[in-house]
Amino acid sequence: MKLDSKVPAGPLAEKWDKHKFDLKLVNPSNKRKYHILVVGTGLAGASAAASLAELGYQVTTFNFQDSPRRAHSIAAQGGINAAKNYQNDGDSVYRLFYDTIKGGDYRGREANTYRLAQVSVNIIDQAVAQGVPFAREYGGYLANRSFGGAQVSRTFYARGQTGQQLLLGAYGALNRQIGLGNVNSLNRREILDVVLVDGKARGLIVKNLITGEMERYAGDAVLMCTGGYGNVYFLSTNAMNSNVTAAWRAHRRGAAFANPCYVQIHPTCIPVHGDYQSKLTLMSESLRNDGRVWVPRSQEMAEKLRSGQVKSKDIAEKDRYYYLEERYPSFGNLVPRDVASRNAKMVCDDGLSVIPDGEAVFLDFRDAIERLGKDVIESRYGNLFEMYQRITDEDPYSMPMKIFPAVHYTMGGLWVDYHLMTTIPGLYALGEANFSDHGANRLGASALMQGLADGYFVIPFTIGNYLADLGMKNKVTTDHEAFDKTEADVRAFNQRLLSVKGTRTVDDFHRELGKIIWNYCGMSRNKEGLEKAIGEIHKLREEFWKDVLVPGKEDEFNLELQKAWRVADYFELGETMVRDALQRNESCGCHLREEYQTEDNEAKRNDDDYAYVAAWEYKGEGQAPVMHKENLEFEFVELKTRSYK
Amino acid sequence: MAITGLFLVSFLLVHVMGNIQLFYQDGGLAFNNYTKFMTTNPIIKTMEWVLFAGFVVHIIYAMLLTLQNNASRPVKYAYKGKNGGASWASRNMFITGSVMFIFLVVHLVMFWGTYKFGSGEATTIQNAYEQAWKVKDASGLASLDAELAHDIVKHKYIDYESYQEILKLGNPADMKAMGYSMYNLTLDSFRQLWIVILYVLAMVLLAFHLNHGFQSSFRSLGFVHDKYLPLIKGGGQVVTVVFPLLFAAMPVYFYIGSVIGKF
Amino acid sequence: MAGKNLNLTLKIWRQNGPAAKGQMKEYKVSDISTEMSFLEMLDVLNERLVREGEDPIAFDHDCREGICGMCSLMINGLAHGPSRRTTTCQLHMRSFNDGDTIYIEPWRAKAFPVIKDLVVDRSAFDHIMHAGGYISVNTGNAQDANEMPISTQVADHAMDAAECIGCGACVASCKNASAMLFVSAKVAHLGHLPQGQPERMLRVQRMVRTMDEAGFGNCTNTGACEVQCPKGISIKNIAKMNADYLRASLISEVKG
Repeated sequence: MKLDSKVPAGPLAEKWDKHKFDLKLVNPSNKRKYHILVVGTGLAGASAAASLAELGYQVTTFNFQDSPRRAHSIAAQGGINAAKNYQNDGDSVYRLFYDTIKGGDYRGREANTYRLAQVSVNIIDQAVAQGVPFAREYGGYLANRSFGGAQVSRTFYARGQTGQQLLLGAYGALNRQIGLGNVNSLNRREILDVVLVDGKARGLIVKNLITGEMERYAGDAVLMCTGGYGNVYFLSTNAMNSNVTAAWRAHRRGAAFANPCYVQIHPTCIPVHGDYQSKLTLMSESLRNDGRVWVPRSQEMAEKLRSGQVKSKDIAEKDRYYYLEERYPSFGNLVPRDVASRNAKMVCDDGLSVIPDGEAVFLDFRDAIERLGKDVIESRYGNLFEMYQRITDEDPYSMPMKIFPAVHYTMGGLWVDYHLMTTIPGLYALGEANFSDHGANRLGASALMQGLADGYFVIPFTIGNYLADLGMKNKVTTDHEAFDKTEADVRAFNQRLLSVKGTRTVDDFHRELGKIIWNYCGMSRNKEGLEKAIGEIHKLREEFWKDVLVPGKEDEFNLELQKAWRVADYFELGETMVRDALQRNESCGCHLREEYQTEDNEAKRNDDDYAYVAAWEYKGEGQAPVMHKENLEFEFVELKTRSYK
Repeated sequence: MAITGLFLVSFLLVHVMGNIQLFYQDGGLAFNNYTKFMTTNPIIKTMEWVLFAGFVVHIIYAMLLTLQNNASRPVKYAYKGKNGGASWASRNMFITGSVMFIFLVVHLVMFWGTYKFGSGEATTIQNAYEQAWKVKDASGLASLDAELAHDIVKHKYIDYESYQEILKLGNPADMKAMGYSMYNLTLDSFRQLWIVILYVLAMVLLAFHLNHGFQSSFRSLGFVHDKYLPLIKGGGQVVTVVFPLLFAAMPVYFYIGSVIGKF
Repeated sequence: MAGKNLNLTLKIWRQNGPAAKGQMKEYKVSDISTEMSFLEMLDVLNERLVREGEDPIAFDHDCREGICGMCSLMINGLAHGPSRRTTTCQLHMRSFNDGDTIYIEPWRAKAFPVIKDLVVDRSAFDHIMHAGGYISVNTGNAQDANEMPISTQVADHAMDAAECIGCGACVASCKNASAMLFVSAKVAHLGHLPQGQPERMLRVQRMVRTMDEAGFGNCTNTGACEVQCPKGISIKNIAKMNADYLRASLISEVKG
């Protein structure tokens, strides 16, 4: 497998502009002769589908929900970064680029990240033109707030629903193209395989989730905009149905999967509270702007708190350990997510957790309410406080929130080059589904930015280059034998699941798999644990294929079958994640290997040996995947130790 | 719905303002004169048709709307008894409207019909006199001029001057009690308890109907403004409370009056 | 946070397919923690059904944090259950008492046909959006975002309307199964903003026409939609849309 990043030469700031000129174009009147299949309709998928249809391409979109508007991008709360420098506080494209590359602990690709920062400004313009109601100052100009990991205010937001509003903006653009007949939007469909003809992605095998029928679609290029794979942990802040299947099936067909072990654990989530729990709820990171994170200073006091002998408000100032403020004076509570999460785990490991049957730390608004008044806090975080109260039945105005990190975002994903193309020609990956821009840790408010950057401003340029070479004559139809063969494979796979007829439910296996991966490949990892995890995953997978209970038939509405194929893929992904974590003998970003940390528990990178992207090649079921390296070259930034002290 | 509804509210306003004259302590003078004006003025006569059309459109539209709305949920919920936060009045406009339609028919037959077309039982003038005036010997009335006599037969009503004239002719005591002016017709009708109860009930339903209908009309016509919305809400409450209350007060007033022997 | 456990009787609508005849079926569940969410309670029941060889109950859900609008359910006659401003996925079992009987039904409307059990087809909402729920601006057309100042009040009003999650609770709770709150939220959101003005008259005519064609009922301003809306979308939007619609039909020369 050859990994050619296709990063253009030249000065960083000019790469993209020059490259856009160098890319081949498809004649406007010929664009309608190309058919593009877009998988997923979140920020990346909807924006890409709409933009490509505007250009004149024929587009078909697929999503598993009942409407494109429901994609999980909608749940992003806090905001979207852009280097507008409207606040005149020293922001610039270069600073956004630098913060992102540094925030990613120097494990992202320089050129991609710079391009992301460059187009970030266009995203805000585009969104405002679409009617996205961003927050504004009294003068009518756009408001900004600051987010973890940055010292400038560059985050644009729409209350606590920025993701929703941006998605609805892209959904609107998509609707317009659907209304005009340029996009065929197919809901309640899941992609079960990618069809390759002559090594190029030429179609999809699609499951109609309502009728259970298998459908075939042929096209000239396929875009995977399928989001992340956080649900491998069973409990995560992802939507219940977010899954890795489409991306994983592409991986099985030859697309390399890069850096799977880079998983972001979001520091401010509502703690786990029972075995039946189905998902975790995130509280926006923006809360850390005014909330102070603390735990009792001594184990003794923590024990009293847990047993109910003392109440949080009665704990004296000197007995409160504001561990982020004390350890990181200049960033304080606004350290990047990986740092905040890791520290929460550390204090809980030290026996300072504030809840009796689990792990949690306080996020306290007492001082902010005293300083600013309840009204100000309410206007800033009202809806978040409401949500917290609804779920926990506790009032965060009168007692501190209890929070704990939870799986949130996956920086890893399908390997892509500068064009966003995977190692399968004609197969692209956009948004969270690819690996490229965030390195080993994503900064807050950058996910929305990347999804939209890829969809609105990158793929419309780069895809033309491929299609121009492919030509219009070279058409494949769904009666091609490759479709027959691929569909037969998918049917056989499902049949295997259905024929086990065991005793344990799919969820039961998923829950257990999630626990293995969380315990050994979660917030901190070590060699011993990771090796153990591989064994446990193998054992559980074997049991899965012997004892899973999938009722019903193939060609019908079958929820359990749907869960089963997803979990079958998680087994393979989980193993690759663990192997990835195991080979990376360093700590970087969200990947903390306990063997590689400084004396004060900060991550210790090894740039000499590990400044590379680990791209995994699938070698068949039950076979160990093979790793390929793309060396990261930093021409423009100097690799430094991240410090938020 | 909204336009016809508000138009009908404007009719109620005129109706209540006119009928308020029933409360004047003048033996029906003002009210009878008002009745004459309302039945003879050409503009009013034209408006009568417009009003009629208003009712017809309102009712037909209501029926269509109800049918359509009913069809938009072919399978109903198994769980009954929750109103989803909507007021009873707003959910039952068709029911309150239907009952009021029945009331309207009764009301029209009772007053407007009697007034306009007579009872239909009078065959001869003499007979009519006797029926109309409920006197055994109507011979004194025979000397009335033919036109007035015709009016009495046809409409069973006379204007106040004619009434005075007749009073001069017959036995004044009998005449006053039995006189058949609109005022007296009203007086007669509201002596009967069942009619009073029917009217009061109908006015309660009218109150519900107006309570939702008034402000809903403004919403349907697209009027919404933070500053003026309270005005509409206030107006709605006035209309809801004051109109039906005044209307209901009329039968109650006359019934109680008749019981204590005032009328 | 310590909760207690509930024993409940569930009466759930089961219907095998769009054409199949459905019925309410009774299930008993026990030891349901009050800390569970409503959908987690259904998950527990479904896992049991799968083990017992019965078809699990189909219901729509995805984000489980109250924003995607995928979950639905009429719970004891109330859309998204008894808690106000709450989606079913955020409804917790502490809202119920031990021994309760809970009726669980799908959204009922001609325009939302049942697909299976509690899953309904809400594509009519998408069709309305295809007809005009957007501002026509191609990618790349936009001017600088701060070229056009918009007062905080206007932005706030637009945002209030834009919070709609498209779940369909308004239709489900309306006695007329009217979609006016949903449609008006989008019309008002875009109609408030200066960017939305060029297409304002066109948009309202097209969206209302598509809404009517889909078979939703007529709005009689009962206000149930506003009360049941998990996002608290105001019925003021309906009046605003009515105003736009009247203007578009009577005064404007734009033909939708």
